[in-house]
Amino acid sequence: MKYNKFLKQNWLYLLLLIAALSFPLVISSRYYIQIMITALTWAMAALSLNLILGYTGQASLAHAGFFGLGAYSLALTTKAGLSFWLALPLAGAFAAFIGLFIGLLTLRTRGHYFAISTLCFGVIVFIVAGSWIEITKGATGILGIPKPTPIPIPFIGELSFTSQTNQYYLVIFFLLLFLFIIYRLVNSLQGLSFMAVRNNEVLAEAVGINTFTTKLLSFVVTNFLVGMTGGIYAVLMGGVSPTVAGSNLTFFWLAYVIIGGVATMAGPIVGAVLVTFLMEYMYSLGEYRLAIFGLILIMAIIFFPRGLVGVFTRLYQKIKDYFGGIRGGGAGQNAAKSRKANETL
Amino acid sequence: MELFLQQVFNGIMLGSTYAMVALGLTLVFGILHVPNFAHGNLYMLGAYVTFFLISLYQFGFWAAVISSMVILGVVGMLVERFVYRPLIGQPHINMFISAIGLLILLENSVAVVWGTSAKRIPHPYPDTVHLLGITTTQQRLIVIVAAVIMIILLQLFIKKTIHGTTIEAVAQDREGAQLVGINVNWVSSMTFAISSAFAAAAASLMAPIFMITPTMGALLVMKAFVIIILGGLGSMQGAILGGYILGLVESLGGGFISAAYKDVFAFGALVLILAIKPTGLFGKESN
Amino acid sequence: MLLKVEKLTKHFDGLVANNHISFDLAEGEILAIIGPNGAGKSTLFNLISGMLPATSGKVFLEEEDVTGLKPHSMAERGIARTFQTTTLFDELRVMDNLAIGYRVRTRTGFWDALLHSSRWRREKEETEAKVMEALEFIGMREYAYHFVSTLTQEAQKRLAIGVALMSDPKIMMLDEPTAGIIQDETDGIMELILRLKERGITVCLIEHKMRMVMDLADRIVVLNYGEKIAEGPPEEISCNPAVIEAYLGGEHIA
Repeated sequence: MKYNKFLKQNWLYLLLLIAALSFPLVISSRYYIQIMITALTWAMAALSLNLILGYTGQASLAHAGFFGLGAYSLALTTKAGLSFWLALPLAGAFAAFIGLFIGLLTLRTRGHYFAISTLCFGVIVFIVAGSWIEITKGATGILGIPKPTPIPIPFIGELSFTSQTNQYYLVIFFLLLFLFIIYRLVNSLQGLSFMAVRNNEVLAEAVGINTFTTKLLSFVVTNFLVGMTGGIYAVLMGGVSPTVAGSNLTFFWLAYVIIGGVATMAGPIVGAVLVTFLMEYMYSLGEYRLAIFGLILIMAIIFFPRGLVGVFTRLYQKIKDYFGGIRGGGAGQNAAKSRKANETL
Repeated sequence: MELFLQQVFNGIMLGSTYAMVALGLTLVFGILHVPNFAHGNLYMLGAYVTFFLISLYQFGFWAAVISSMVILGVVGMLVERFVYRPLIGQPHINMFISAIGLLILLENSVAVVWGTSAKRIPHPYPDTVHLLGITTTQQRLIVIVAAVIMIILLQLFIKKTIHGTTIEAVAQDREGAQLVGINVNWVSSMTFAISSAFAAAAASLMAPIFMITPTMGALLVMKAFVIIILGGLGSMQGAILGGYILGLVESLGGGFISAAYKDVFAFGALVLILAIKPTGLFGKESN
Repeated sequence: MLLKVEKLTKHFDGLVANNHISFDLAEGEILAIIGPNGAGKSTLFNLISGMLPATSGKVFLEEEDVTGLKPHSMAERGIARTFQTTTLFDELRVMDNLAIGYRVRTRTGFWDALLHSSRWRREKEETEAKVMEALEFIGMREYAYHFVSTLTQEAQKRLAIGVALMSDPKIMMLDEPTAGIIQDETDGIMELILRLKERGITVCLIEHKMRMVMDLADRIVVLNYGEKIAEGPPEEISCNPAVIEAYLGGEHIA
């Protein structure tokens, strides 16, 4: 019974999971698998952005800066001989540590000021990445990052990450890990604090939430995750250059979150995958597609500020209410009943 | 000494552009509370329009500059009407995202139409001038003089005319202005037109000196934000003064500090100042 | 003395909003702060609850100097407040609003949430129980899953009191708890405030409805132009010449 209920509630997610896992088995085109790998990497970056932007309500525009910090950190440490499996959490920790410091400086500001302040930091990272030639090799960047260290498996041999398929599963693994972390976090009392800050910072403070440390926690976790994402991106590309810290990337991820659905679990993934494939589909349009993309973003925020997932869930709720109402005692009727009770109170 | 004077002169010229761009931005951000992140792209568009008019339609330099200002003024009004006005009263993040959409739209539209390679407008006034022991081109002098004239005209417009004073009224109290019969939408529209025309003027004046590219406004808009936050949001004097100070610091600092890192200091200063005073240097406490 | 306010003063750009205001709050009483519009009542609340820094003066809670503490520290120490314009988490449900009110008494952090620690489980259950109890207390059990935006003004007022109550405060500061609702509904709110007193909570409220103030308050403090002009039991205040004088320009007393 319990499993039945679980299946009934989560069938859509299970279906998506099966689709994601079987993707490289069904699709034979290396080209499409590669696009999917990129799309899912961007989805990870968008997921962590959603934590600070969507759930905590703070528009951090330094996201690509922290992505870059993670990417460079991984490039330098793995080239120095460190195992990928140590270098990756280290990349996250490095971004988180800088994030803690920057958060202490910038999180006292609110609204537009926070966005501008973090954007300034992002640009600083970008400039330093291009100028500190001794460490970053300037505009050319660091090349020749070794592929992830193979994992030995007893009796079978080892799991290596030289094949495209295995790289795809590596990305899927971390995507699921990120989803797990963010899901648990936002569906807890801690997550409630994030949403309290987003909804009304003054009231949150008045009812006893330390809004500063709450924002700081969200910012640090966000930057840990995006630092790791930068590391994964670097290892898959085999190299990094200053473009990984460019604010254009932040703008794109922001667009994925908005188009997919802000403050939803699925939104950033839907946005990233959909927009990436749409951009590929419009490849023949050349630079027009980016101009169109800008237009789509403006229209999305004006006409569908809740994004695709928001529109979908509302539609789904309406259909459910409708059928529930027919069967009697459904959500629709309950809502009507309580509205009535509300009036007589 | 001569090198120093030369740098001061260049700093003033650079500062003139910064002041004009920052003035436009402070009008829309400080007064209408629209974080127009695409302001640098309007600047860029202004330079391209001037380039286009001169190279394709053989406009004279000044005719092109003035036409560019008019065209960008109209573009600014359209931007206000279709990109920002629908989002008034919504969470501040929404307007921000709209601004970023506009930024992407403008940058790539220009790249599509005119290509990504750098362009240069032929020098209308290529002669050199000797002045107080420094050597410069007429064009550079013209930038400074024209900027000063336009800044003064704008001040007069806002302080002395009916249309100008409505901008200040809306800035101080949007609802109150509406109550006394000011058409707030028209004022917003006008403010955007002025702001964009100013960006176009600054860009067009500078165009014969520097290369024009689709990304030329990207860093500039951030510098303008730095200026207006440090100079006090909505303060025109702050924007003008801040613009000239930043121009001088950059020009003089270029000699002492490595050119690559000079922007790091400006942006770093902003992060630090906001950390100490989260509402900007002249932000006020409210009840 | 539970709360002691000593010579609190606040200047805004040279304008004096509060000038040397002192009063005490004894445990278990209901103290009303009244005065014409612009007398500085809300500013006083903001100073005590830490929302605004005072220009000078001190606040003591149970003999401890709490001047200048952040609002969240004040809430943690037992001073809860509501706002004049009803302030709630309007994107969230009724039960979430209440749960956030109890957040100050829970410690669940990042690792608890991630690993589903025993604390995570314990505090989750504890919060749920507290939310149910508060829903009963404010009489809104059937609205647990409703979004705030669907509630009536009166229900929102109740909920705001409920949210403040969640932190088990010693003192509740209510800024015009009946502003914007009709006379019939104020009785319900009055009854709710009396039940707060029964629970042993000390109440300090700003109110304009004089009948309500006279019925509820044990003591009254009167402000005018940022100054305290009178203090005493209701019957004494209603015939105080200075108070009548202050109100003649504005609204009449009772």
